[in-house]
Amino acid sequence: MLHLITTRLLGAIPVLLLVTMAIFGLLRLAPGDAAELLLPDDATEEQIAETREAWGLDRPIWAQYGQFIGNLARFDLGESYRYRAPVFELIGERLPATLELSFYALVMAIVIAVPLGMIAALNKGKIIDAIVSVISISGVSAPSFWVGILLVLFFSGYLNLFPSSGRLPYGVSVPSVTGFVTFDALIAGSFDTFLQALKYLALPALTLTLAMIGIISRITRAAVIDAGQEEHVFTAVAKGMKRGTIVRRHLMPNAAIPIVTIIGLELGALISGSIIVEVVFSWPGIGTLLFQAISVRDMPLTTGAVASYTILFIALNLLIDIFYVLIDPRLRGHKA
Amino acid sequence: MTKTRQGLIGGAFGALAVLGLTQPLAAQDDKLLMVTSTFPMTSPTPYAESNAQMYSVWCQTYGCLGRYNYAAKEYQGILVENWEVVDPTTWRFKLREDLVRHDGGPGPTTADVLHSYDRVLNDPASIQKNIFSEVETIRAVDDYTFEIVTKKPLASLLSYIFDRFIITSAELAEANENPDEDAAFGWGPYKLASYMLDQEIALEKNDDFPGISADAPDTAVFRQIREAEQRVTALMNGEVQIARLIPPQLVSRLEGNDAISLAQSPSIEPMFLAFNPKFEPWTDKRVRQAAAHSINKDLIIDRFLMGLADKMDGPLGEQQICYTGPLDFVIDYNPEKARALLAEAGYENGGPKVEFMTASGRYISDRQVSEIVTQMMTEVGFEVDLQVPEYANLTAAMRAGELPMYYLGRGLFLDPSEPLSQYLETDVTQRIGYSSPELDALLQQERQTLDFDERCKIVRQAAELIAEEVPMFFMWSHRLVHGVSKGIEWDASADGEIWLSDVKM
Amino acid sequence: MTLSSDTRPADGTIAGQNAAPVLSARNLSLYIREGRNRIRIVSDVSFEIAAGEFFALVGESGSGKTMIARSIMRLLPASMLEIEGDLEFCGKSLTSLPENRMRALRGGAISMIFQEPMTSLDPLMPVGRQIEETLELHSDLNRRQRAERIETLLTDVRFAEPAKVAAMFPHELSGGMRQRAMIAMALANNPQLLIADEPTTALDVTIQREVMEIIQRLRRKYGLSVLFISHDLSLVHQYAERVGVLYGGVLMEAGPERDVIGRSAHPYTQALLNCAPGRRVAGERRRGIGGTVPSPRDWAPGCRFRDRCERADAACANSEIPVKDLSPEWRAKCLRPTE
Repeated sequence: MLHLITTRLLGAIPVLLLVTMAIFGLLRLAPGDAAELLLPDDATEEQIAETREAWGLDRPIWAQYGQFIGNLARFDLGESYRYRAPVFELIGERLPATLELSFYALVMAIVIAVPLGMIAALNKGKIIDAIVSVISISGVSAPSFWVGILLVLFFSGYLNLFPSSGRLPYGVSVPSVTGFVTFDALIAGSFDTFLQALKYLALPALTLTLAMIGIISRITRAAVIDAGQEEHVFTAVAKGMKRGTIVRRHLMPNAAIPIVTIIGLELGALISGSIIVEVVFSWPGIGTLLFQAISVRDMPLTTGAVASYTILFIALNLLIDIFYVLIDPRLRGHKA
Repeated sequence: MTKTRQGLIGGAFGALAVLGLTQPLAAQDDKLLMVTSTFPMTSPTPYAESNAQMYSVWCQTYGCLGRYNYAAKEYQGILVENWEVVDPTTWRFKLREDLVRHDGGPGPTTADVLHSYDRVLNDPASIQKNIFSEVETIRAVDDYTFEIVTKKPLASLLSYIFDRFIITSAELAEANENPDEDAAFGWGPYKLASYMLDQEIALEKNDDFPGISADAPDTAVFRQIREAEQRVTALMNGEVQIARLIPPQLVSRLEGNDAISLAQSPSIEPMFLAFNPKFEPWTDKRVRQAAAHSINKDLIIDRFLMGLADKMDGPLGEQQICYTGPLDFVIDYNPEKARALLAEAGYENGGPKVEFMTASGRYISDRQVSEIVTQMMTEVGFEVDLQVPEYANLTAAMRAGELPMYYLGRGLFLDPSEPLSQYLETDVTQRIGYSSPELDALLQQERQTLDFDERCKIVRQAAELIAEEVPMFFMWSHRLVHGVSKGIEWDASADGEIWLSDVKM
Repeated sequence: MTLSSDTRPADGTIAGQNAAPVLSARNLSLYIREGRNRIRIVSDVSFEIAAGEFFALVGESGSGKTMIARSIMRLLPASMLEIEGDLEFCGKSLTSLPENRMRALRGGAISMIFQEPMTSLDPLMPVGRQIEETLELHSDLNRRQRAERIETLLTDVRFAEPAKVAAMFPHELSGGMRQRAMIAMALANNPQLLIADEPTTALDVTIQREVMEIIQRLRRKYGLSVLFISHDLSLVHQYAERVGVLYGGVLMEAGPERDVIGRSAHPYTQALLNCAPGRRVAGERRRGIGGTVPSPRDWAPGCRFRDRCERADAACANSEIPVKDLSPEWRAKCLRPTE
């Protein structure tokens, strides 16, 4: 296990380097630069040139890149052109919000999609199977921002059940312990705030969840069907076990492996989807930060945000691999 | 319930409240105004941004020299009480002496003005240097009087600096390493209570500000809501009381609602088509005029923009300074004339091929309007290739002078002097690549004419010239529509910003 | 025609031969369901297994023998496999048994071991726990007693360190070890009938022997009947007491081993035996049986084997081939069985 973790962490370094290099290159190559985009409409050409010089945007590209790598080696992500604050700080402030949103979206998706897939698999060929199929396919097909706006129109605008944007109402705050407003509210003993935080989470998390339910339920269905056809299931039947017990003890643990695999793959979709959702719902996470950063070619911030997402993705995949090792004894490395 | 239990519960609640763990219950008569933000706040430093909202916010908190009152159509001082032009290049300003700083400190002095001038020019975070592009220096006369010296006589000095020169305290800057974060105290009618970058700005009324109205909101919160749909929903939900910049297509949703009234205001952001004479076929004035004649502005305004735009014939519309009435030379909607002009220019058998760039989503219905314009031009014979690059790419190319034709808006167009110079004066920028010694002379002359009426005569002449030469074809300025909850009285102004002291709740 | 090593009891008797049959199948037909249609894969098979008897059912792949094995305990739901005819266990009908009573039988009075030990055990659960599951279902031993029983069972199948093996996962054991663990699991509740579906096919020859010896020993110790499904004739010859030969879902020949294998009356049985490696006369090429097994869809009236039979004639294409009794215990379904 330790070996696994170490190799992964070491392997993350070249990945991060490549990703940051790519971002750097793409942003520099794209037309338009931060100085022009951030200065007001009536700034003179001289002022733009001055700002460009101050930010080092006028130097040749290899010189800029060299400085960038040099800073990176010292864990210095630079200062955002737009916010004029260290990128590290900005991301650190926003990261918990993104994590909280992703956490709830993922939990909701698993809690809804896995049972749905199971029900479809165990009732294969019947009407309920077809219904679940339809739900899954709609989830896979609908674009997340469209779904998000529909949810707002319906649940927020029409039914007035949920707020339309933001993370908490004005004037409400909780002392920060974990960074997750929901957990912090519970820790502080304020159940009211906890409920409010959940209300604000509901629509953005639901938007992300719907996008994931489709594929997770389909894979669950396939995994459960496959697991059900394995030989040891016959053995279990031959032992006289009841269907429910077989499903619970022998089918699901074996089906868990492909299901967890697909969840791992879906994490990528979750992370990229969350950017759009954060923008639509004005959720104060890294997504909004990134969106704005790109539009003004804010190189340090864009790089920092993308690097954060990369690290997040690597970390989540590592967790999944650890999970595999925990549930599948075949991966633990001793043979007779 | 027994007395002891009541006491215990009350005590517990009190303890919790002290620990700040319960929700702050607003006092009975606390007037809380929630509005949508038009620009996100990216920094607590008042010099770090340059957009209408943040200028407005800082003017109301720290304080600036003054503001332009669109209703009264005049400049009104906030920190200054009067000003005069002493000689062609010297303007003298007198600060008010009746103001107290938010933390109890002294009112604004010349020292603060000079400190602020230094910050604008030299603070690494400052992007507002351009407001002093025509200013030579600022010098003190006494503790409450200072003079601004311009490089050349400049009639429009106030439009550069009046509501954009934010004054911060020299004293606080000396005593604090990060005054913008730790000691954000100014002299304005509102105090900065709290903020979350990109999300929320909360302002509290400064009850000590002389003459502040009891009807004005006690607390105002600007909430950043990016999507127009969300803003409308938030207004209908009661999450905000003023939702700004409602696009025309969503207006109908609010129209039938009894709890909401719609406030309309004209804007100071003219939309225009640019024809760059450095590119064929725009070198020929007839072709430019032909393109202009092919466009039916009334149709677009009535049917597509739902009447929510004020037509402009030239750079002077009703909102602009120096407007005295319609121009003499007007390019009207006349497709026959357009075809005739094209034929004259040599395009009888099918018009010229042109490339047309536009943004998408940056201005109200920009892409759709461009599509309509393309259609109209095609009908008189042009072959139009419409392209929609990403906004950053579009502006980069525009500034570099690479775009033959484009549709754009120009904000902060209250005084036409500076924008016209930026776009049309030879060698100032590359944006349109137009050069006319006659226009140059007019623009230079008007800048230096300090007498208001004289100056406006010259500006009109320039406007007529531009209307005929039509390197820039002015279309309209959008009417800004804002949704306001019943119970709130707000006179929307042309810059779309909210002067909180004027709001009645 | 004797083959190497003959391990039957010398006196030729079979324990409990005269008691009521443990399993009896009469006119058993099996159908696979495909949506609305069903395809008959086993036609009219009848046989009996006496108490303590080792009965082998042989045939090629596709003959239907595995399906018969699975039909006894109704391992497949009626929506997939339809059973017609009679199946009785110790005189009680299996076909009309409600599901909960059938569950009580499975792993209790009747148990089964499978062909692929690699995949027949749950890879995520320790071996001992899997055995414990069946003990939990069919006995009321407490935890400690179960642990003791598991140790006993594993010792019975010749594990030197039963406690250690119980804690291991299937992938930590070799193929032969896994099969022995399966046997231990199958015998946990002292069944009367053990169905062994090709239990040694996936194993090495040496391990095969080991496993068969264990089955044989435990069979004698506990008076167990065994239904042994296989296509390996040498094993059948060594261990079976009675044999049934299946081809295309039809029982072609059935009877005592020394008759069916030793002398064989049906042309198919004879052809099978000629294929067996041990039978090859030096210098002659090993003969396969020409042609292929017909798929259930192509079954036509008459004898299923006639297209590949050396002795077939026009009469063999008639609808019903009679079952000829060659002795009270030995019968063959053929128009021209040899004696």
